Amino acid sequence: MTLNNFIRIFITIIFANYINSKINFFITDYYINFTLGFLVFSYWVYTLKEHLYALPSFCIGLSIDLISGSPFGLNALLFSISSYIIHSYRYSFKIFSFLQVTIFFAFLAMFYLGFIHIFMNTANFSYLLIFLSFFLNGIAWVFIYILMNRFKKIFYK
Amino acid sequence: MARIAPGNTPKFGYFVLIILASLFLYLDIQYKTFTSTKNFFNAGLIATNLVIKNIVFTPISNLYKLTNNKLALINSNELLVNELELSKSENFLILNKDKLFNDNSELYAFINDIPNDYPYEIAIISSFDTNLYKCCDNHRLHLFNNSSPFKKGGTVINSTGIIGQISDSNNKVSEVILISDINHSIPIKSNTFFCNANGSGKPQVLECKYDPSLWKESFEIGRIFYSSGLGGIFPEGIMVGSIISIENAADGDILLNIESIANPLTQRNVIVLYPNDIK
Repeated sequence: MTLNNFIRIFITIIFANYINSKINFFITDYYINFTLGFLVFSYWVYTLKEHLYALPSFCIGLSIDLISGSPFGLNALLFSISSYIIHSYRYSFKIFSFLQVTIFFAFLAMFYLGFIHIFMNTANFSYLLIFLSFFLNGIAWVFIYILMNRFKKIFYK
Repeated sequence: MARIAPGNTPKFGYFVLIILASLFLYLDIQYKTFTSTKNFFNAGLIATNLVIKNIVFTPISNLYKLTNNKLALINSNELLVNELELSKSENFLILNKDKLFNDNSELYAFINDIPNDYPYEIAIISSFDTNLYKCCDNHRLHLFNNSSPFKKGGTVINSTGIIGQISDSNNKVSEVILISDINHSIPIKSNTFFCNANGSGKPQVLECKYDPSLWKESFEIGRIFYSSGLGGIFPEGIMVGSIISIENAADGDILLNIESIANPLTQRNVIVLYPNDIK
């Protein structure tokens, strides 16, 4: 992967994370949370032929930790683990329908959100929020997949 | 049973980096090893944002405003908004002057326009992650420093009341821990009842837990609490909030949920006080 492409990927994830924080401010009261940054990262890991393996995942996660003010290493850990899981199922995805892939990523986003809340919102951990966010992130994945496919065709070389 | 399809995923790299990330996480949570790194990064980010805003966005925005002949009007409007916010805060300060300052002569010095004896400093919020404020336990914001860094322990207020205190400072910015932060505690009282109200991690909500066998006092929804002044950081007698719910805790204690009247989301200008002359 070239440095230019890595920067493009990085910018999309940071941008999605920024949008995510702006939207979540309004919807947290209704027990739902997006994980747009994580879904965009998952999209890149899922679709790239060059593969986003351990080191880029770790670096992106660490940068998000710095930017978002979360405990240092939390996103790095979750991004690395997610990248490993997605790569492990890389060949299985080929026999999955789009609905099954969507459910897989909705589950992954749910676990990501769950771990984030375990570390950052321990006193007010809400199972309802995690459960409802599963559906929201499933829907978000569909839109991200469509949008990012278009973005990839235009900008990614 | 389903099996993972074989692939050529490099396991060693993942193993090493997952261990490293776990180590970082442990060190940060247990020992706060990376706090200075994060503060340094935040300060850099805020300074960069400011520079970019001043060099790139403000001229473009001004150019647009100039073409519409509204620049003066917009500037005066912004000025008035800032003045209004400050006057609201100062109003709060004057209304509570007897409670806020040990030595009232300093306040009178301010009223008589003697700038060197200010018992407080005006500050602007430079960054406030409102998403973290809504979603998570840690409620922090950052202030731009004036000529010198704010001292740790300074009380931060806005026109609605006490919002927090200075928890950390470097040359560029100061970190404010809000009273609703899970790690924050403010001593409060109501009549003869005293307790330490801990931040609940929910916006504007504090928790006060007490043993009913020790305190016979009964409480009702809406009862008002004031700062007790114990601990020597916050001034005594400032209204903190009122009870919104009363719960029985698992260990037999009673938990009072108190909604703070101070809302950090209302304005950008705040005041840092040193009521006990710690500055």
